Amino acid sequence: MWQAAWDDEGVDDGALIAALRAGDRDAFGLLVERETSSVYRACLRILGRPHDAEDVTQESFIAAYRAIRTFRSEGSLRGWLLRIATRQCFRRLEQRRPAADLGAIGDGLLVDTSAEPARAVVAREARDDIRAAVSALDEPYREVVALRFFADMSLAEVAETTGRPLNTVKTHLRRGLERLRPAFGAEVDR
Amino acid sequence: MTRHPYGPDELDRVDPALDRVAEELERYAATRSGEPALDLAARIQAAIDDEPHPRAGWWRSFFASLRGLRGPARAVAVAAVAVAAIVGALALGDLAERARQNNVGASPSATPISTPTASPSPTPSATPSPSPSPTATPSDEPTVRASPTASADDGEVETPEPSESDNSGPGGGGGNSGPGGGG
Repeated sequence: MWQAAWDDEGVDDGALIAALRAGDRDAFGLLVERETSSVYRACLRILGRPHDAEDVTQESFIAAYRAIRTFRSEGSLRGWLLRIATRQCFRRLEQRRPAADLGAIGDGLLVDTSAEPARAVVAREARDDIRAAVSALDEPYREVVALRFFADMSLAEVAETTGRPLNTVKTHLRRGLERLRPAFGAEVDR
Repeated sequence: MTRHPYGPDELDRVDPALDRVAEELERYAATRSGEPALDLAARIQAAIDDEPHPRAGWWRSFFASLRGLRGPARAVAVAAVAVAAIVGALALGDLAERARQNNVGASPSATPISTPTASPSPTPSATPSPSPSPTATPSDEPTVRASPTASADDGEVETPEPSESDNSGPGGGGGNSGPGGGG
């Protein structure tokens, strides 16, 4: 059933969910094919390191597979996956915190090899600051900011995925941005 | 590049400072839009293949199905669960009561079973033993009177440990000299 939907224009969530709940591994394979990039990008934006982002992307899909029967049909599969992924990312960051963040330094320099070294370092530090500021937010602001900007979801999708009213999500986003403002002071005052 | 670009009207209020924070976040996200390694999906699929078939516990399935309901259907389901829980609790209570009554009626064991406690309890038991049975209990220790309340009345329960500020506690009488003191 879901194969027909897949052949048309992408996978219809309803058919795919039914197949997933029935334990169809091929259906899960389609979900992996469809959403790996978006989950990876969200993880990369939160974690900063491509290697960690790949690890957590994989962990997120495995966690989703184990919990597929608990998926609520209210939101989209993509939103559900991205929510799992952002949580896994923040958990990874909390584990990583005590260790020196040497990996991120390497990643930053690798990305900006074409730029001048000083500019590359400044750019890396700015990115680290943004990541650190977002990850230091309290919940639920952190989750809403991450889903909105790092997972590239609309506020309506965030509301649907988290099961919160849209106005509540807007309030959370506004408060999250207000809390981020001091950390972004140098940039936003320009 | 972004599927959902941030708009100033998104927060339902005009706040240029917050808009700039949002734009910074968007700009950051745009710089981190790399694609995963080509084989990442295959690796994930291989990891999934190694996973056992996901089985939901009955409670998870049940609550997941509840969460899927909306409005009146959800209320009815929750009410049904509550009623079932109450009926179950009542039935259990009834069963327990019956079992207790059966036990009382069936075994009128008149012999009180006195389990000799090996540990010397510091509080003298206030319950008088009904049968001063002369049968010698094979306890190694004599019935323990190790508590400092040597002259305590049998019917009175006292706290065994005197407070530090209380010099006239049980076994006291000697000022600051503790029990066994006086040297």
